[in-house]
Amino acid sequence: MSERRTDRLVRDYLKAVDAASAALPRAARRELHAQIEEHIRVACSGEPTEAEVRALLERLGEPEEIVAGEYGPQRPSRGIGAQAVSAIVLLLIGGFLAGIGWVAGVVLLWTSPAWTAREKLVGTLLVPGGLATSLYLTAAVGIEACSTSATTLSNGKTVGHAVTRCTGATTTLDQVLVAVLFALLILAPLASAVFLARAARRRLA
Amino acid sequence: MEPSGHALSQLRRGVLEYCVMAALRDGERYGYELVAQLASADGLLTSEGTIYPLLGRLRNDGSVATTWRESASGPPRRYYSLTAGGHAALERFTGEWARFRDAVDAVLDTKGERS
Repeated sequence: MSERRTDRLVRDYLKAVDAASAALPRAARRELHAQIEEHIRVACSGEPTEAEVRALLERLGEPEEIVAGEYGPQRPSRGIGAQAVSAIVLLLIGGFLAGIGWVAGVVLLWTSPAWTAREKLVGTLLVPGGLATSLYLTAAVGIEACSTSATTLSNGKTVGHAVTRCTGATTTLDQVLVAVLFALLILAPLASAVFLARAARRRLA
Repeated sequence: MEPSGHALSQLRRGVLEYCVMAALRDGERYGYELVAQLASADGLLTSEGTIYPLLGRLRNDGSVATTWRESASGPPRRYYSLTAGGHAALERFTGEWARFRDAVDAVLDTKGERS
C-alpha cells in the first residue's frame, strides 16, 4: 500500500515536471523528464518510505523553479497564450464573420510579441481573409464554370464566349491545374496557421 | 533582505554552471552523484533539480558530454563528463573568479571599516 503511494507521488511529480516544461522544445523536455526520473530511480533504489520520497522530491524542488532556473519564468498559461491562439484562429476562420474577424486577427497578430515581422507578414499574406477567401474563390470559380456551361445550352448569345471558357476548363491538364490551385488555396491558410503556431511555440518557450 | 536575496540568486545562477563543471573536473559522474556532491556544499543549490536543465545546456554548448553506462543495479545511467572545451572554460573562469572574489571582498571590507 505504502509502495503504491510512493509510486503515485513520483508519478505526480513527473507529471508536474512535464507541465512546467510544456513550453520547452520537445527534446529538452524529454531529456529533463528522463534525467529527473533517473535521479529519483537511483535515489529510491532501496525501499524508501513515503516520508523519504517526499523529502527527496522536496530537495529536487518545485518543477516550475527547476525550469525557471534555466529558461526563465514560464508563462502561467501552459500554451502559447490567449492572444496568439486568438490571432491564429481569427486569421484562419475569422473571414467568415463578414471579414471583420480576419481584420481582428491581423491586429492581434501585429500587436503580439510572439512573432517576428517576417512571420507576421507571412501570416497576413497567406491568405488575406483566411479560409473564407479560399472557399469563396473556389466556390466562385466552380459556380461560374457550371453556370457558363449551363448558359451555353440555353442562351445562344453567350455561346461563343462561354464555350471558350468551358473548353478551356475541360482539358484534363487544365482540370488538374485548377484542382491543384484549389487545393493550394485551401492548404495555404492552414499551412500559415501551423507555421504561426510553431513559431509562437518556439518564441514563447 | 530581498535585494541581497535577489543578488545572491543571480550570482548563484551565473556561477552554478562552473560549479557543475568543477564537480566533473576529476572524472565522470552520474546525475544523482553529481547533485549529491553539489548539495553537500551549503547554500549552493536552492533546488537540486535545477542542475538538470543546466546539464542539458552545457551538453548543447559542448562543455559537457553525456554517455550511457550500465549500472550494477537497474537500467543504464547517464554519465556526465567534462570535455576539453569544458576544461578550458572552467580554467578561465577559475582565474577570473579569484580576481572578482578578491575585488568584491576588498570593497566590502573597506566599506565595513568606514561605517
